Amino acid sequence: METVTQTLDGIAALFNAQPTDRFSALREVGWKSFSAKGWPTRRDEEYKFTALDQLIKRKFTFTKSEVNSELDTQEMLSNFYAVDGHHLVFVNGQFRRNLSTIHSADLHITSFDEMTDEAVKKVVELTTSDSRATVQINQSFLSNGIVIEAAKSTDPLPVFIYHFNGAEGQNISFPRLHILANENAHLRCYEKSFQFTREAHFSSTIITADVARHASVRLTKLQTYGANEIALDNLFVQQAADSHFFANTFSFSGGLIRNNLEISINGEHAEANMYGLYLLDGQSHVDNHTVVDHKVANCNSNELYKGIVDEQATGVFNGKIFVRQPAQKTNAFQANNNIVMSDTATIHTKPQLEIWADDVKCSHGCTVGQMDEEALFYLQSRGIRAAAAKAMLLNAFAEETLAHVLLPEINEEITNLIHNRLDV
Amino acid sequence: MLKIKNLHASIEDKHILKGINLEVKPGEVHAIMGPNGSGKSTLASVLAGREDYEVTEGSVEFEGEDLLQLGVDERARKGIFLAFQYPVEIPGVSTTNFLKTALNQIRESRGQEPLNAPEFLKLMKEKMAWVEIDQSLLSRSLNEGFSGGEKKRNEIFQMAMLEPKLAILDETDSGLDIDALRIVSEGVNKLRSPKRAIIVVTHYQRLLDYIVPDFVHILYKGRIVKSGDKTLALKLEKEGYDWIKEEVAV
Repeated sequence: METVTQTLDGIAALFNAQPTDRFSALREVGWKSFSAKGWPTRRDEEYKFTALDQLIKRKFTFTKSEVNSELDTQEMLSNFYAVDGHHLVFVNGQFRRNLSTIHSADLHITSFDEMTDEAVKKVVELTTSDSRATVQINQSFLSNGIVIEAAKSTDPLPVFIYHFNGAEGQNISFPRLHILANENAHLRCYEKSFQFTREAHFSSTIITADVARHASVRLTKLQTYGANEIALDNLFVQQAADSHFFANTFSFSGGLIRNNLEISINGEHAEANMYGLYLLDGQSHVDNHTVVDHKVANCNSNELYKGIVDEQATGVFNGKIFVRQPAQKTNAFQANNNIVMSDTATIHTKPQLEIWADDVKCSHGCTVGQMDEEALFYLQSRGIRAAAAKAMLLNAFAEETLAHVLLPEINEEITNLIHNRLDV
Repeated sequence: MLKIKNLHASIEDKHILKGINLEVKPGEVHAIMGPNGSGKSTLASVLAGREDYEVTEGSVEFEGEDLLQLGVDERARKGIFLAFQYPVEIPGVSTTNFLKTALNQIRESRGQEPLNAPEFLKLMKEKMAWVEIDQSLLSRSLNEGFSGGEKKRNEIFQMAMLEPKLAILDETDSGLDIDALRIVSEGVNKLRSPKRAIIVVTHYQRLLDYIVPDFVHILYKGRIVKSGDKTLALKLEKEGYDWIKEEVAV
């Protein structure tokens, strides 16, 4: 059996090659934690169906890449949504203010290189004690992250976060963002990645979000990664009283996608919503691990993830709901519905409820099935051809997850992605 | 139009239809009555092409063509319509969208141009009035959360939109109160035409007060044991099915 150190040789070399700068000490902390354990294996309960050690080794080699192409900024900018808003550009995981479009009056965007050491440390420390490899690998390569802050009682223009990965031939990226919605602020964020290389690419992202009283944050992630891309995604949310949070995660493709989404509800009358769709074919592997932690009374959480998995693709869903003893009058709903389209496609789904409070309403349900034959018969009995009837049912199944994507341009883009995949 | 000869059908090795013979001509309305479990709904399902049933013997011709060779959707495009006893709820698909697709696929197979949006809406408005169905219902997910009466009205509305040659109503009266029964029946009667045949499958005579049949057939233990005109239905209403059972037993 290979030792941890052997498998991490390549990453260690990359870690050590980083120049010494003001973030070095923080990176050192991350590396110490990461390198002690390395990647989780299938023996780790949380990675049973997404054994990172094996999957990463199979799909990616950590070696130093040379700058081998010009940065095509024109091409990057052409990918901006034609919507009035803040357009934030990350190139290979590093924030680039000069390429971004920011309306300064509306929202505060501060990058780490503009912040004091103390302020950066405060943001990074939100996750320092987290022992997960997906988190610590990011801290091991900490660079220029950002803080997005919506001031009290504001409703800023939408924020678009673009990750241009693989630019100039780079093969790894480690973006880090902190979202802060102050009291009564309402923030909408849309995140999308672009693969700027034909080579394999690895990314590990951390987004932390702090949603203050009466504030709301909506974050929609559109994941259309290449077959040779690995994306380890971490989204950790803290919610104060009367706050709302929506996560919409749409995964259409990717060699390996792992989404860790964790929401901690710390104040009463808050609401957390998690919606997701994975529409997979080829050999895509998408794993959504979610946790919602009800710590206080009188809060709601709603979760709906849907999957359509075809060809040799794999979909994994694991949804944990904790309802702590003080969290009376909690309403927590969770559902994960899957349609398996081929004999070689795989679904693993696991709901986990841990409830210590006694006066709560919680429900969860997971289904894995084929098409609804009775519905298919009904549509066909009206003259609709089998293939069209099937597409109609699958589209309807998938589109249910779109209800909370409010921006028409993005909603339409996702609808089109669904149609392109499912229509005949 | 429709010729059923010695039709036998089974489901999961259970022999249900045991030699049905029936001929339906354009313009005719046939009622198929019978006690529970006699095979009425099976006959409707076999004609519509439900795959759970296996035809073990006999033939069905529709306009000279072997109906049993055709798939469900092909039958519908040839002009067969089944109004379901239990219409299926389909979340996320609106009646409007689904009917537009269905109608245009049927029109395409007839060599007609697809209807554009204004033409389709005009046709919908006209047919909605027939069964007193509301636009808001049709924008919602197909049958989802509809009352029993709304579902049945939606079936007849779809029938009015698709203008089939042969309509089969499977227990359309079940679960309807008297007002809904009247509305649904009036919708069906508007569809009666010299070119269109209708088969009404029902347990009770009351539907036939509104949709007056030309012929009444009694199905019992998988066979048509008696045929007559509308007075046969009245006799069943008065005397029940017991005399039929006795007559067959003799």
